[in-house]
Amino acid sequence: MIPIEHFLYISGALFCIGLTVVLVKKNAIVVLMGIELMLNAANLNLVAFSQYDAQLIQGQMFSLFVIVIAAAEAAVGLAIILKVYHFFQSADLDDIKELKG
Amino acid sequence: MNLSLSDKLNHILESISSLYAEGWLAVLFIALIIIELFLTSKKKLVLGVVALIGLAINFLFIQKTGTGNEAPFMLGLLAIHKSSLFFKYLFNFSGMVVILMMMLSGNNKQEDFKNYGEFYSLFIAIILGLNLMAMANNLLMVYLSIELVSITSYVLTVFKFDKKGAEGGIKYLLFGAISSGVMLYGMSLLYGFSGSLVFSEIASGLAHIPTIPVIIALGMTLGGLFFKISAAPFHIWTPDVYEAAPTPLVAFFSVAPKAAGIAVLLTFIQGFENFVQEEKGIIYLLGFVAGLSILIGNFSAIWQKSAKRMLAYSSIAHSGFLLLAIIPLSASGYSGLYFYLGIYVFMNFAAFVFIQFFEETSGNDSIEKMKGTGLSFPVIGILVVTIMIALTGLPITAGFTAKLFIFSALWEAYQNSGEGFMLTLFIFGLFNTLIALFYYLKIPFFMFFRPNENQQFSIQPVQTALLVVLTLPLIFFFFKPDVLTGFLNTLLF
Amino acid sequence: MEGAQTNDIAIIATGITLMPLFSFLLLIFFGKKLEKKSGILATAVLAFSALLSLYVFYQVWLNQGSTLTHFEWFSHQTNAFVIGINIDKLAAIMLVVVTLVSGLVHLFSLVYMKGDKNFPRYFAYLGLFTFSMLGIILTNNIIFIYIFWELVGVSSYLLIGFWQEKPAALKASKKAFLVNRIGDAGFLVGILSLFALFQNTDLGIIASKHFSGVYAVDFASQYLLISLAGMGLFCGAIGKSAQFPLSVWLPDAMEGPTPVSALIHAATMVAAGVYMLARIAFIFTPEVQIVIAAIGTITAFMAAYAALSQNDIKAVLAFSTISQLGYMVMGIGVGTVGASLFHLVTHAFFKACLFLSAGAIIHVMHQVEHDTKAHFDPQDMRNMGGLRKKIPVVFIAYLFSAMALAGLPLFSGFLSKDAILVGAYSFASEYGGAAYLIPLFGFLSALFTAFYVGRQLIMVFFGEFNLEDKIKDAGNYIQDISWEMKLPLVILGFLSIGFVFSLNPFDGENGWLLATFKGNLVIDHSQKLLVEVISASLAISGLGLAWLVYGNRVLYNLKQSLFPKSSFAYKLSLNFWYMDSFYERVLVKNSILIAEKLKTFDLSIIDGIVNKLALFNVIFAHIIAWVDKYIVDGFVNFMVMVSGKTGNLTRSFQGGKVQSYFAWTLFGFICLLIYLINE
Repeated sequence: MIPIEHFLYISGALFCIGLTVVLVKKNAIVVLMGIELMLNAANLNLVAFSQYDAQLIQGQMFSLFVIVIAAAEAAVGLAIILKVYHFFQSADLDDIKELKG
Repeated sequence: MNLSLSDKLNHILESISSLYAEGWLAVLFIALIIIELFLTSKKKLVLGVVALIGLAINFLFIQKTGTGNEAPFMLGLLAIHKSSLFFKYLFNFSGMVVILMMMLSGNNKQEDFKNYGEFYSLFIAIILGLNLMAMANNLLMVYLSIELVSITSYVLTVFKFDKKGAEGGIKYLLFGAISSGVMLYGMSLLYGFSGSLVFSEIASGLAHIPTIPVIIALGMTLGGLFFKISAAPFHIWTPDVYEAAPTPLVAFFSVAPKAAGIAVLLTFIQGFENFVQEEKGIIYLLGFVAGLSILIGNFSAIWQKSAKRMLAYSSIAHSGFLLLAIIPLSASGYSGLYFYLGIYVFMNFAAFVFIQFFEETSGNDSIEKMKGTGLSFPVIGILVVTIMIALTGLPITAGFTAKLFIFSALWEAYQNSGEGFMLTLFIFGLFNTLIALFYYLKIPFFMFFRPNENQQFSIQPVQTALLVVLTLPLIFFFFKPDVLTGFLNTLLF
Repeated sequence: MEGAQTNDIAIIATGITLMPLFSFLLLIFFGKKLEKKSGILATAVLAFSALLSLYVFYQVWLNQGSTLTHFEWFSHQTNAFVIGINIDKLAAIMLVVVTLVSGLVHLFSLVYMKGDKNFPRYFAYLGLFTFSMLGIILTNNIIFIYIFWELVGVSSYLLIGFWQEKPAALKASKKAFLVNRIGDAGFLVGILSLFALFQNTDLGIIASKHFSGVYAVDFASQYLLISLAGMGLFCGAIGKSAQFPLSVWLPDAMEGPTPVSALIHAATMVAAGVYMLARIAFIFTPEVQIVIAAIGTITAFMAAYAALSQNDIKAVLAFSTISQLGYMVMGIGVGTVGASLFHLVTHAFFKACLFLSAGAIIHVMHQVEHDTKAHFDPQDMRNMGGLRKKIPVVFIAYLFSAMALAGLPLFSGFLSKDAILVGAYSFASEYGGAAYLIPLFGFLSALFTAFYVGRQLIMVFFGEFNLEDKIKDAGNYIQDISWEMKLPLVILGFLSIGFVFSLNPFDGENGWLLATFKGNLVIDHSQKLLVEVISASLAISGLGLAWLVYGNRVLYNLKQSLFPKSSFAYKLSLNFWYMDSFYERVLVKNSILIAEKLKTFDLSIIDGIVNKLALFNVIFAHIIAWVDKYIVDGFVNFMVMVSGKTGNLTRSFQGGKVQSYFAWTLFGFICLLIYLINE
């Protein structure tokens, strides 16, 4: 059996990569992808940890819900990005800075 | 809980009796979608009326659910906590006020929301999510209900369908999604440490884990909640979203999700009571977050020219005060918190009703444009002065009483524990209340001490009535706070 | 004290208080529909209030019906908060003073404000003011006193700025608002200290705890906190009663309608500070008392000196009000609280009479200006003269009240001012040394008072009508005033006579009012006689001097050569000791300088220190903001300027880019976590 640490390394790395993408990439759609990575890092954790759960299944169920919600979030996100593109002619987050102060 | 399938089904069926209100909201949500199909584009106001009546009926369902025995149901996902009933009433009441504000909008074309039919159904979905947040007993439920509220909020933020709305929407969405990603990672760690998702079991499971990882996991989980209550450092989205979103919705954002976030935080803290008492780290975290929120909220608010942005920062500061009430971990602190929330609903909605009225007649919400309006409309002027004094927390309004309760709970905690930390927070909070005087009084200042520049205003009588109804309790509960505390006691204890 | 009866009185008193509020609400909501009737309605309400007050007064003074009723406000843990309605003799007489003067001012305003486009609103504000003032008088809870205190302030600002189209009026109202904020900050400190000391805000409970020595804090900080409470509350009184150094707002407040000046800025509101001091006088430590006495004396002297050279009829009265308030504060400081209250009552009547007379004169002059279609300043006394034949009733009323102000024997002011001076003298003889400066300057101010009163009387009523030099036959246009204006003048003039307060016109000590207020204070009779003789002769010589200079002009040339218009002494008086300029030049300019320096300092040192400095910036701005009227766009812009750096700092998180938002959030969050882990 693969030791639990390995899962943690992978998920930690995934989370950090996702966070970096979110902070560094300028295109809104790529940022959404970064968020997806962060969520999947958490999913990995949940599934890996569920082997220690008395009921064995809570973590796996949780990750299913997360996947569904991530899909919904992405759908709404893309819709809004479409709207943003309509107004700003760009999906570059650095261009979207009219609200400030 | 290794039950057979039929036992589980029976359990779920029994649980439904505790979910009348949520069931009704789900029915209302679907009904609004269906009714909308049959309406022409000019007649969407019917939806508002239906939603309003639906929410009014919902009060009966909430009451029918009764006060909780705290026993978990729905396989341990939900539980009716001591405070759930209070929060449900609060959400329902806020919902009704917002729908009224929505229906009153549309004096000028720019701000006409009342004919966007989807608004009403989505809005009911938010209330449903908030109710679930107030009853959550399990990390999964916390995550699901927060996401239900958040995703719907992102959609509604864009509802002006203009440039600002789109920008506010994308910022809100990205910020919210990242925060929930962080929260989820924290949750997965908590699950790993304790092997359970139920609050009470997590707390006992954490006993043998070293402190540092636990604090990191708890901190990340709380981060998502700080985002929901817009507490620093997770506050930065607030002003932009408040500026972009429709005013009635902003009023709602500044009250209801914040209260729901506090509700979850309370369940969290109370579930971890023993752990927290032993390990003060979490309390320090809350203290820093509260102090930072008050500081940033107050100082940035001084600077603002737009009334909505100013209130956004003020709501950040208010989150800080709400957190201050949790820190003592005492009964008097909690009762102060509920009192503060109860008053906060009235004063914040009143402030936003005024801003909506002003925005619609003058076209924007710049404070400088309010010049002389107090002299032309003395009634509105006096009401606004009362509201601003309440927000500052000075006498003759219940805002003062609310702050008094919180500060005396903090003082008491300091005297019991002798921790300098509490004293620092106490003095800091008191001092910031004085600073708040500046920016809150800016609005009455412009209204009364600057000459009117021949601006034309018109007030709808309904709006004035709404303003009066929301402002009078602020004065009444100052003179008779026992009425409110008595009511809260019957709900909560 | 029968239970049922005393309870009745509390109910009636509450009714008296609420009626003006009712009038206010009615006029605010339905004023536009009522129009002309609104004034009559408000006056009727006030008249009824005044009658009821007289009944309460009768019950309390003659049937010994003092009462203290407590209502439960709320309880927090074990600490029960109560609201007391306190009707003792002091409150009863103040009830009469406020409702009577307010009622008469209402009546007077019916004519004075006729034709104003905001006629109903004017009476609404008067109602709000009267309600709040009665609230201050009756309530026994310091927090509620503070609330009503702010409310009278609000109605005062509203009424000063009532003629919004006059920029000077708006400016004056802003100035009053800002100056009073400083005093109120002190008041709040006082309340907090009291609360820390006694864990309660009810004055009765505070007094009983204080006298039995029960404090909630340890011994070491007791005395300090008591002094702090006294100083803080006195700060509030400095603001509201326009004492030095915060007196600058009151002369400007004369931009409001004249009847308002009579009611609020002379008779009642400005005296609220003195009333409050009298209610909490038991808390003052000797050090605080000396400060109070000194401030009162300085104010009395400076304002009396400033009144000597004013040409505006209302300005003279405004400075004289400041000066008389100084006397009252001095009286509190030297420990003769009763005498101060006595002076408060007599002053309320004769100063209201003086202001209403001035109002009548301005009204008449305004008519002339209107009828002749000429342009001149209707408030300038140099345009007046010889009016005694044209408006005899005003002249008689004015004469009586002016004599009372000058402190001439037989008139009310003599009795009360004398009582304060006797107190000051015996205080001085007890402490010796520099304390003698207090009665000395008190006497000097009395001389000045008599002189400026005589000067005003002569300039307005004697000699020839000076306007005829400029406009031919202007005198023929003068019309006598209507009965609504005369009646208040007659009543108030009558109340300026000494007999009303004491059967022996040379001795107020045994008069019904002072005998009750003065308590057990023992007065040395030889000192008393000495003081009486000095002050009476000063009053007479002051008036005589005025006659010699302005009346038959024997000494006019001497005065002109001694104090020409270019002399420093004259300018000092005319500009009220250059107090406004001082604030402008020294405080505002330096504060800008300091703010600039802070800015550069801010720029060079980042983050943590910036927050502290910014905090300091804002406190600093708070203290000096009230002198900002010379900064172009006033208070708000000043705040923005000083805290501009703060704004830039907190705003820098808010650059508009969502990714930097989250970077900041993560940064802050990680800092917090690292700190916690290292704990």
